[in-house]
Amino acid sequence: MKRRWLGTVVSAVVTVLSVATMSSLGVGVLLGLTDDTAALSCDRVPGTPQPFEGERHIPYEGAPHEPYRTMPPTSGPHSPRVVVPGIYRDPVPAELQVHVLEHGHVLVQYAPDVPAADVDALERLGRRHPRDVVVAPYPALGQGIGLTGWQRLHRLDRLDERAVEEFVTKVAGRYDHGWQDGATDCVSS
Amino acid sequence: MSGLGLDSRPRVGNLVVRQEDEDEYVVGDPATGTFVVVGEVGARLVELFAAGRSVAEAADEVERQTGEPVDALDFVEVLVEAGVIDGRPDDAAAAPPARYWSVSRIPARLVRPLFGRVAWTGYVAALLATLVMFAAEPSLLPHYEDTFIFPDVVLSLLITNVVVVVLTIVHEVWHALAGAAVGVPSRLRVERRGIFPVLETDLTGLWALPPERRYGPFLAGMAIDSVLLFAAVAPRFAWSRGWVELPPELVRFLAMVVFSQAVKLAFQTLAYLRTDMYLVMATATGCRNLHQITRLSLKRRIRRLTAEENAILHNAHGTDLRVSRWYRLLYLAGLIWMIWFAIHFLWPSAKVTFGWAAGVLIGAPLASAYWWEGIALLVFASFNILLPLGVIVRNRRRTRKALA
Repeated sequence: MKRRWLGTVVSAVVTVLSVATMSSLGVGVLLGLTDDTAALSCDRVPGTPQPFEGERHIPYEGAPHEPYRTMPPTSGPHSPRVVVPGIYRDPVPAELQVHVLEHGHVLVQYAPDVPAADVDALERLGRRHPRDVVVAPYPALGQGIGLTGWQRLHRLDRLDERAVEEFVTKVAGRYDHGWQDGATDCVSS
Repeated sequence: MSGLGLDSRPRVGNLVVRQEDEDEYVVGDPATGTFVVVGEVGARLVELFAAGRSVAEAADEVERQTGEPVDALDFVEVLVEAGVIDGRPDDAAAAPPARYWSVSRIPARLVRPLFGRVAWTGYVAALLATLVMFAAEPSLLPHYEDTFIFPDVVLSLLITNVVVVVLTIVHEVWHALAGAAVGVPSRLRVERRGIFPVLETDLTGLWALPPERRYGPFLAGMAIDSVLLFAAVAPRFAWSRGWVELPPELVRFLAMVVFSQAVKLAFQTLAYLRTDMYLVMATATGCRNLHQITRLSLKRRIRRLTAEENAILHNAHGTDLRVSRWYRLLYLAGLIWMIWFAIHFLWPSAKVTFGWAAGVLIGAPLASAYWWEGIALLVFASFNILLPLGVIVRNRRRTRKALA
């Protein structure tokens, strides 16, 4: 009797776990289909919109391609290699930056003139948004901080934590291999 | 036909006899993992052989006790045929010992503390603490991007796969150690579960033990997985709160470990793939051969069964038949899910991987580092696809060889 009872309980638990595991992927797909969260209107998105420069993959870093029209780049030909969100202490090549943006993430990059304390603050912000932000140095900026999203750019002369936070929370996820939830590039409208 | 006769004294010193049901006894050798189910008379005969009686003496003794004649020589032949006992004459040299994974031969007293009450409390606490951290900081939950610990895709795949293989071996080692703790040696082998290649510790010898002693070895792999998952999540949780400083590279490496461990644990919950959770469920329900009975009972609806398959289904235990009535729904759902998974995830990832590799091979300078990276990716992706097929071919060859 005890064994029958145990068998029933274990069977129920195992079945629930099996179904939960199987459906977790399906639920993700369904949630993506049914998500009706509307994207922010263009006037509420920080930074300035940038024209579309393409999205093709180049076969390798260093392969010739059209020059980017913005510094740092916001779209265009890019490497198929992947840089995941996180803190980086070495510059991310421009061709890789664009791939980061294509995945819906935001780049927070700083020039050599940014004080160490401000770099710490930017890295702390990166820790708070570990799925959305790449924080990295980028000497080519010349000075200040560069915030980029897909076809979105915001330059800061000095650290403004609120502005960075706002850019991250409002730009990340607007684009992920395509505009999400009705978002547009705010250029062609 | 064995070399044993009525005067032989079968070697049964290594056998265990355990009552499974009212008139049902499991007789077998835990060391080889070979078992048969016999009735009460069969169990009594094995006991008499163990006491040193010859085949004829044991038959006489049982006849005296039950009042019924018994063909003990035929019974011995059945045991020999099933591989439970050595069929050579008793004066012949003993069969060479079976080959086992060395970690499973560690003395029980050395590994028992790893599976005591304190240890199990630790395993459960690690899992619960991990779930709490996931709830408190959802960004710690695994994401497919976590496998890209370097921009170099091939290097990331290589390191991720090395880590996965190492973690899988640790999982299997824990099964083997838990088996050793209850005196059951085991073997390690490559197998296939549906479309997924797996490493597997063969712990068949556990079926000689009472059900309550099997749960530990079955759950041991998931137990150590939980500890490793906790060990990878806890530092990231502390880092995300600003409690500790960690090199960013280590944070990304830990995220990849979390992804790998979470996928492994999730896989174990898919009972219809005969994972660890299936073994736990089969033990708890008292099933003998649930998966095969379920598969055959479904197969006969769409295809004709072979005579051997019909016999298995005909002789199925009542518990297997009863449980298979609902388990078949889970089994069918699992098959449908695997097809869905292959269409929605495996096929797109294969397309991306092969497309990426093709783009590099066409565009990158011949024999450059990028070009070789493309080749490596092609080889790696092909290996992952072909491994389950290779296991199918290997198993079919083995079956044909065994039948020949």
